[in-house]
Formats: sequence, structure tokens, C-alpha cells
Amino acid sequence: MKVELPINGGYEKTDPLQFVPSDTVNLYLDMTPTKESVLSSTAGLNLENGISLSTQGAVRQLYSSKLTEYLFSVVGNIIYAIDSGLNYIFGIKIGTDQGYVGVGETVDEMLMVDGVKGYVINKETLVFTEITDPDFPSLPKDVVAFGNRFYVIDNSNAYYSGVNDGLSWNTLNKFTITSYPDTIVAIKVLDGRLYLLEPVA
Amino acid sequence: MQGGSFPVARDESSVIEYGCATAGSISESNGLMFWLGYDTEGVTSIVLTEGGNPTRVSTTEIESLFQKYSVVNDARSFMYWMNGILFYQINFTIENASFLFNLKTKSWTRLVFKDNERQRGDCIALFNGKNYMGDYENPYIYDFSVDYHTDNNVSIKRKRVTNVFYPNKGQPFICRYLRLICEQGVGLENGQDEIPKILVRISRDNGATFGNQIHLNVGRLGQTMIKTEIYRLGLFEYGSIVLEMEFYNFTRFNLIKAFVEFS
Repeated sequence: MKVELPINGGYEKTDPLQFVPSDTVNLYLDMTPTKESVLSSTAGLNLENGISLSTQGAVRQLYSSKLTEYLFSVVGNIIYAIDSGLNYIFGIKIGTDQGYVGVGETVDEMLMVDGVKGYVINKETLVFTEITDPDFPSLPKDVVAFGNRFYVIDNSNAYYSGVNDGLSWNTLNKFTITSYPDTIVAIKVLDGRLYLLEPVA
Repeated sequence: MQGGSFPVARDESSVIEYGCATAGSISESNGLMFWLGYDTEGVTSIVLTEGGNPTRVSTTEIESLFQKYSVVNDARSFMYWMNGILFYQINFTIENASFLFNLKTKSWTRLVFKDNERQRGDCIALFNGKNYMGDYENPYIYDFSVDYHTDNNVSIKRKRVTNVFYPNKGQPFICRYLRLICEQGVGLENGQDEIPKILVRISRDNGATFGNQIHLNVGRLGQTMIKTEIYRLGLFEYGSIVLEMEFYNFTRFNLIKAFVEFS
């Protein structure tokens, strides 16, 4: 007797294995137009057609600006702008060389935060500026652009910038979560709403 | 919210009942947002929202792995389109693990570099019509594509371990042959990948142990009529069969189905 073994599937491995040993590595489950399942190769990497930068450290952030022809990259403690020919332009040296870097973008500017400081990139002039306004949050963890302002969080509050001006901050322009107060982890925009995320539900 | 005259106002209908482990686990694309979250019971899971109530997309098997992790707040994630499919990838550097969620088939895959290291990428951006991926350790920005069959000239381990099958309804059987249906004729013109091979091992005890590795030819370049088969597999006393298939060649690999003939 001949039978088909439905071999395809994803990672479902249980402990003990004898219940479900199913494991899938570097293959993804797809479905053909005729509803046949197939496991296909995941993508590979090529550096020859990429960029090897001379800075030490990891690539902490890549951001493709919507309104410029540049790819912005945070590598170690340097922000670079990369043009369409994959030539890179030194932007600015920042205060940290590892960890999460948040990025927000308005029509005219981009703002990056590395947990210690904030940096504004003028998209027209490609001038990179460290934010020195004393009212800018001292431990900026994350940033988004919402409307025509930037919103930056520290552990307790969300702060908003001047209109179309990531270099202008006022310490009174802030708000926090009052219903379920906790450390703020992240700030994001989804479906036209600004969300503040905390660690515990 | 508290304060004076604000450009924003609280929307009481938009409270999300999931916590977030770390900003790096959040990814947004196409009106979707994923993150590594905690529910009210403290379970760590991957959740997805389109703006309303989030849904858990991680399986209990993946969540049980997360529960064993000593550190999850180093998680980094991103989303990308590849072959018309939207993917969410999350990496844990200290735990040396990477997972990929396919939004089309709602299925998870482990991603590894070399034998068992986490995948190299920590961030991604679409630029010039290509996906560029940033390395989590080195100052390298890779071109990332299904057209590349290596991780920058390092062999990619591709592996599938099937579920347990009972072809004879749990009764012992003698297997005459196993046939794998996969894409054939994809060998390189010369070199060690001229004749790509699937490395197959078979378990007769529900995946607890596997037998010796058998190398099955999937065809030289253009050779599309190869029988990728194993004959006379003998008695399966406990009535079950599990296949482990591995592929390391610098070529494309698509696995479609398998057949067994038994008596």
C-alpha cells in the first residue's frame, strides 16, 4: 500500500519529543496556488553586494527614510547616511556603542535616541545635530513622529517637541500614564493612535 | 494622561491588555504591530495587533522556550516582505536563538547560523528595492535575498523533522520504499554542490532516536527526473515513522511531499 506522508510544517517541537518532534530550520512553510504545502529556503546573506563599514561594532539600526534617497545606519557609535550607490557618509559620533536605537521621522527631520541622548538629522541639508536643549529628556529610550512633532519617552513620561522642530523641547510638554502607572518601555504609532507600552499587563 | 494643553488626548477604547518586554521586540508594518508581551497571567508570548485587541501568535511550544530563557529584554525584531510573504523575525542574542513567523501560513521556523547560532541580522531596511540586513556583531550590512543560498559563503543548514506518522494505523509494517518529492536539477555547474544531496535519517521510535544518515541525490543542474528514494527500510515494529531531512548545499531547496509504500 502506498500512502503520502504530510511532511511539511513549522516548528512545533514538544518536550517530550515523542509527542510532537516537528522541527523546521531555515525553511519556511508556503502554500502553492493549488493548496499544496511546500517548505522553501529562507533568504541568505551577501556582503559583496552590501556594505562593510570600518567602524567597530554591531549594526544597531537601519532606517530607510521615506523622503530622502538615503539609508541611515547606526553602526557602533556612528550614524551614517548611505546613498543609492552604497557610498557612506559619516554623520555624527554618538555617546553609546551598543543597545537599542529608536528612530522617528517627520517631513523635514529624523530624530534618533540611543538611551542617553538624542540626535536630529535635517533631511534636506543632511546636517546631524546632537540635541542640547536642557529640556530634552535626560534618558531618552524611544521616539516616534506623530503629526508634526516628535514624542520621546523616558522611564516615566512622554515628551513632545516643538512643531516640526526636533531640537526644541519644553519640560512642561509632557504626559504620563495615570491609570496603570509603571515604567514606560516603548512608544509607537499604530492606526493613527499613539501607544505607550509598559512591561506588565 | 496629565498636564496642560496637549496635542494628543487619551482614547479609553485603545487600552491593550498586554505588557511589553522590550522596545526592541516591537515591529510594525502594513498596519500590524508585533511585540514580545506578557499577559495578565505573566505568560511571555509574541502578540500581534492591528490596532485592536492583540492576539497571541506564538505557540505554546515557543512560549515554553521563552519561559526557560534567563534574559528576554535583549530581543530585537523586524518585519520584511520576501516572495510576497510578510515575515516577523525575533532574535535573542544571549540565548542565541532566532525565530521567524510567516504571516501567510501562520507558522514558525527556527533560524540558525552555522549549526546552532542565532541568525546574523538584528535590523533590516528596504532600500533601492532590496532588503538590507544589519549584522548583530559586526559592521556589516548584507544584501538579504532568497537568491542567495549561503550566509555570505557559509553553508546554511536547512532541516525538517516531521511529525510522527502511523501509515498502517499504528500496526507494524514493512516499508518497501520512501520517496521524497523535492525540487530537482538545481545543482551547481561544478564543485562540491554539483550533485546536491538530502541527508535523511529515520526514527522508528517516535523521534526519540534516529538511524544512520542516508544521502539522497536531488539531481545535477537540469537533471529533473532523479528518483530521490530509499528502498527496503525493513520492519517498523512500533508502527510509526519520523523523518529527519537536512540540506547543506549552496543551492535552492524546496521540499514538497513524501510517499511510503508498505505492507
